[in-house]
Amino acid sequence: MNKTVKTLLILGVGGFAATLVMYWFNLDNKMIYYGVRPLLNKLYDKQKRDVRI
Amino acid sequence: MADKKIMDEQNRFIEGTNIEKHREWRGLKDTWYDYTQWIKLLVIVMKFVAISPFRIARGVLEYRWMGSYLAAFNMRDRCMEGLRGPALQVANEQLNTIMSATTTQIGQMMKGDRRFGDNDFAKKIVLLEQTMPPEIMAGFPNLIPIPLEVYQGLLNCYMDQNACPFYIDVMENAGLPADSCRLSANATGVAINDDFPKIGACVIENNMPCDSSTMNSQVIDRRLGLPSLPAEVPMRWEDRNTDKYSLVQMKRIIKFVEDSTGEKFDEQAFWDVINRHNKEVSNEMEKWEFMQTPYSPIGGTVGALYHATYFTFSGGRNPAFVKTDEKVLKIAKDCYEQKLNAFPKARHRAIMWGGPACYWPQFPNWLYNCWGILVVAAMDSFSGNVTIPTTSLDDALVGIARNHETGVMRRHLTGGWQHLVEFWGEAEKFSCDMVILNNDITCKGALGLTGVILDQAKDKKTRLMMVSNDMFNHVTISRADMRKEVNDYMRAVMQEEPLDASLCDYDDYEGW
Repeated sequence: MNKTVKTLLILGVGGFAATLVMYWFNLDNKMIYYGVRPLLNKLYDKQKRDVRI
Repeated sequence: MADKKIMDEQNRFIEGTNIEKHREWRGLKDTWYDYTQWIKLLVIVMKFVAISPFRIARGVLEYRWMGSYLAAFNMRDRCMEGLRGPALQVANEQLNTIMSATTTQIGQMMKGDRRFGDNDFAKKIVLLEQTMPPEIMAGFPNLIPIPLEVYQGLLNCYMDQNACPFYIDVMENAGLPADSCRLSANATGVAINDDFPKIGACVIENNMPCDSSTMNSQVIDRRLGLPSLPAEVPMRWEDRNTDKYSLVQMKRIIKFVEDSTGEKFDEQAFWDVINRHNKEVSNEMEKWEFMQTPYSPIGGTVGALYHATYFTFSGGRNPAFVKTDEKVLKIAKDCYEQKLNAFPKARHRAIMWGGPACYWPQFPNWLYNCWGILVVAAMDSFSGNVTIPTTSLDDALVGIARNHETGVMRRHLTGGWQHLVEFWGEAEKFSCDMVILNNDITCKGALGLTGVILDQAKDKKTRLMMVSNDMFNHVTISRADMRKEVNDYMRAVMQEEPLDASLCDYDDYEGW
């Protein structure tokens, strides 16, 4: 029982701290803007589409 | 008086982008509140992914427009810039409802996308072309009305200013006219590039009297390959003799949906949706009463966006909008009773009119933070708002047609010149001393009246500021160009200095 409470407490506090840091330093947007989106753009630019009307 | 904490605000951003180095400090209470709302959005995104994780992942890899939705968190932050207290609460309540409603529908689109494997769910979706309110589908509780074009143009442009130029280029490279309305041009580009999800049992198209809209309807129709019906709803709705035509059209749509889907019109479900629609409208009217006072927390970017969202995506179907309205009205009532000024930096109250720069939906936030101009309401707020009669089914169907006829874009931009200039009256009603006229350079309906509006402005006490935009295309008229027009007007005509000079001129061209 004690172990479960301790694990939940650590997860809760750790999760809170991680999300707070992520929120304040805008890490979510920085990761997507500098990391994810450039990779996706490369993928989109390689796509072949039939663009005849 | 300006809040010192937001002076020199632009230095919080990474040069050349609109990405923050760190999020905005609003004081302990409001920053904590904003953090909790950010967590709420995180949960909304998780729920969205849970709708169909594999298909949504494939959608992000397949569709360029889907990639733009990754900027949703940034879009949220930009909409909240400079807001505090009740204004921050209202904006968050409304924006989270918008995010929840729209991500659910994007999830449903991916779930039913035949590109990733056929399934029965795809047949439950009925596509509605731009400006078509979903009340038309009120009698079909088992079907899901999803607006076409909006998800592949308008909303992703709100998230990412770079979303639409690619599709506009595709359309122009196919030899189609480059002076078309950007909304239609983008939708045509999406169709030509085969980027619409392959969903739906049928499509209900509109009869917008706009050259670009006609063009995009035809190209989209060819690409989708679904049964389609143009809803020929009258434009001259002020003549009550047109009601009989609109009733015939409404019945034609119901029959078409029944024939295309095998579903039967359910009158009980119909009335449930219509009653909720009427509640949405009465809530809007109640909000307006607060918005006409100096003690309203409703204003800026999100208010008008919220109206356009429930007009386009809910139409009485989504109970979340009524619940959010109740929360917002409670905040507004408290604010009014305490005589609290929720926008303390405001030096001017303005109505924003005309087709906006969708690549900068947070323009009202900038106006407020840089120049102290509070945008109280925007043109879209005055679209629809029809209380649908509940006296008989025929009356209700005519009411739905009226809601469409007076809806987004139809009422003001293509519904007769007298409606395009309604803003003078609205500005007076909302105690505004300024009108900001979005000069959308490809909206021929609005451009045709620019001279008349400028002439009218000479006789008015209300100030008129025109700001040019290219609706979905930031390449021709950038956000920086728009800022320059405002800066020039405020300095030369109003003889004023900015509240925060760091916001007057900065580079965000490469940013979302």
